[in-house]
Amino acid sequence: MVYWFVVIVLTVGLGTDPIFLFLLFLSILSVTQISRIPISKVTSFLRAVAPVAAVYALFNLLFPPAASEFKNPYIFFYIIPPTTLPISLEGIVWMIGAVIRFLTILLVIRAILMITPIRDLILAFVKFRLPPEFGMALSIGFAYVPVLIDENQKIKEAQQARGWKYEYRNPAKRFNALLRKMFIPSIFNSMRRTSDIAVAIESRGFGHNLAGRTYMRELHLATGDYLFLALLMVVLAGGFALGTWGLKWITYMNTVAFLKTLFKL
Amino acid sequence: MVLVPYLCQSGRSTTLNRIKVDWGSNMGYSVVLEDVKYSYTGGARPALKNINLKIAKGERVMVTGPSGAGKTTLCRCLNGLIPHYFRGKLEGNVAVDGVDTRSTTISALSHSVGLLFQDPSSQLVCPTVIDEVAFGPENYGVPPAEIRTRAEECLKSVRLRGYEERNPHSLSGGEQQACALAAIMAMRPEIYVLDEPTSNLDPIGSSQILNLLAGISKEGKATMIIVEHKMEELLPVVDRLIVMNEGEIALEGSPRDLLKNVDAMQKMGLKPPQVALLAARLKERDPSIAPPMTLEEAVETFSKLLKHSKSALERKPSWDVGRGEKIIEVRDLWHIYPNGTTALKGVDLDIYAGEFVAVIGQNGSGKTTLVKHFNNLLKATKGSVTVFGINAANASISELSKKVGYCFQNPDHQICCENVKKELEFGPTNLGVPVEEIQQRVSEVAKAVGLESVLSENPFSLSKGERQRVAVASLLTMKPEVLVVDEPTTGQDYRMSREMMDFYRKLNVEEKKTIVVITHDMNIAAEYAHRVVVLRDGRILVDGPTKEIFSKTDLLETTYLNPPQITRLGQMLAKYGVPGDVLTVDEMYEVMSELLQGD
Repeated sequence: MVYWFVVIVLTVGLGTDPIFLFLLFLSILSVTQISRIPISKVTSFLRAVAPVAAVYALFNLLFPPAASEFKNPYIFFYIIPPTTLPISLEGIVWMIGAVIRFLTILLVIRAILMITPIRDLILAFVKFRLPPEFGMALSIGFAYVPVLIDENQKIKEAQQARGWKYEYRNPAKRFNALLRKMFIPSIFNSMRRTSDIAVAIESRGFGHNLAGRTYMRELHLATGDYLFLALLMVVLAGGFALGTWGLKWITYMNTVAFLKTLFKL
Repeated sequence: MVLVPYLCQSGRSTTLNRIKVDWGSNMGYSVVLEDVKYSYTGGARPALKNINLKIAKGERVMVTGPSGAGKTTLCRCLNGLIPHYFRGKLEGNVAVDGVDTRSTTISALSHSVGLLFQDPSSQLVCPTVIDEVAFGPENYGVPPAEIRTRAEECLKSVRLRGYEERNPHSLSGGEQQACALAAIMAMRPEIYVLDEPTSNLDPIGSSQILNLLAGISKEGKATMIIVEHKMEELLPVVDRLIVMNEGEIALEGSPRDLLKNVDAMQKMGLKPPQVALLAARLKERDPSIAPPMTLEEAVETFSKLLKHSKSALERKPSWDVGRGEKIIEVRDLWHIYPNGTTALKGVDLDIYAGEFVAVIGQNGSGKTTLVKHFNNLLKATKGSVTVFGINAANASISELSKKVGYCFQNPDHQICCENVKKELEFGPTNLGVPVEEIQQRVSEVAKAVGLESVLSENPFSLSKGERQRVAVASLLTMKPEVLVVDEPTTGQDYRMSREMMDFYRKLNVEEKKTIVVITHDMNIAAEYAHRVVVLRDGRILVDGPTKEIFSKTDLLETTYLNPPQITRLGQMLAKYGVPGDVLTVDEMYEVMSELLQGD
């Protein structure tokens, strides 16, 4: 699972071509289907991240990081005429690629978390020589997610009950309000909780003999898993090869060129 | 992640030489403390002093005392948290299971000392219940197959079978504490140290845990040291009671002997069983009365006393409460949370000006959900809420918060400013009150609440009781007419609870504020509220004057609530003419005196 994640992320990170990325995105969707994650969960997740993706899209459209590479761009219009903030074919293709890349990475992470229980992931990490302390810290982190969400909700309500408004239009003001009035109580509570947890785990013998620690759930990697790992290694190597030699032709330039020929622009 | 340094610290070497204590006369004792004195780093006075204590193997000891008496510090000494985690200054000797705690480590000591903490949520560290129970044995290298057997066995004995794969934090408070207890049991400790295991729980969770503890203690193999305030429930199952006060052991002996000395306990701000208090007061009338320990004993004792009484009791009904106009009107209120939980199922409720209302019920019965509608923190899914003539559906939180102040259970969720004065100014500033008036309100409220001397201090450096006052004061500066208080006494000792409630009573009587208090403490509800609203499963089970509600023991039992012990005593003595709605020891004393006058 972790290797799959690494492979996808590396490949996604290197590719910029929307068509290629879209195919990759479909491949992940198909994995979620093989893993019997209900499609409604996938779509509801995508819907939840849609606003973030939209902001991301807008930034990429207005300020494409690759703007300097655009050779002789086909420009539709300028947002502020005559020459500020151009909207070009290159820019749009880049933006689509960027959004799909963004969604792909998020979906991979989400899929991993949906398919694999956190505990198994952490066990896998520990099996691959991550120190148990870090495994423990990760595990505690995940165990406390619902607690922290609940606590933040309480803090927000406690401030609202005193007439506090955080819905400022101005993002700077909003950020400042959130930071000051929610951060102080949450930091105070987290610090105390951290100390409580440290006391609690030590009182249950954590650190007694880390090398001789046993695990009730033993992670057995089946032959199939090893084969799959090997296969992923091959794909990873392939990905690197692509990245070094091949990716020159899987960039957004191809799509741009293709569209230009198609519409004779 | 902030946790990492702590975790790494816990991995310290375990190869210290364990110093065996020369047992001699101490053979057969699990725990021996000799002239122990301890001060926390930066502590003004010692948290423990002159502690000499021997606890025998298999003995069951209850430790009680007011907040700050050193109970938790004592627990920390027993599994080595003192001196290894809390450094401070330790004098004298602590030996556990024959080993000097200085010479070993927390994790080594924890093998024989299982420590259960007050707050269940800060000791559950694994993603699922079964992993939580396995965590301890895993740390000691128990073979996986045996861990699984132990985990299943322990979950069975705390009745959590079927919860194995749930996140422990998604359980109810009582279940969380049961899970934490199972996690301790799985380590098979020889000594259980339980630090206020029921203080943060609702009545049902509390009785679950107390029953489990009674079960373990009946098996009688393990030594048990239980720190608790709940004497009524625990005294019958322990061998010895230790009362601590100001860092020292103030009283020590068998529960029955110490009950002869309830006056001393009351002076320390403790709450001995109500039936024992009554016996102590009636002693002047009949010196032969032995203090009863349980309700059953009390019925026997007082029956003998009342057998000869002839006088009938004339009582005028005192159930009428003067109430003002209707200020909050709730009609057919439904609330469904986004996750699909239906928390309220058609609630109708009116609150009148000047009332003191207690809202009781188990966790999850909808108490908090209901009162959050009074200032719009939650909006009705269906039905209507009218607050001072304003339809809540069309109002904002800040608009209603001028009328209804909402005080959260944990003051630390609310406190957000760098000094107490700013904290008190925060609310009225949000409401746009003119500066001069804010200053005036702050000085008025600070005086009324007793915070004048700490106005310039950082609220987080104050004690829990003071922080709670700061939280209430910061609402009072907004001049609300209604004060909604969510569990003001949870996790506090009896004296602090009383002080807090006396304060609300003063606001109610002197400042004519309407008070709505959510509480799990039936004694508090009985003593302070004019009216009690009982919720069960999102509906109002019963609503009426306090005396009327607490006389309906059968109805309350359907939601696992019990009236105060003294009320139940009255009901069990009904055939001698004792009324079933006596709510306090003082009142019962008067009733008894009147009944016995004929003698």
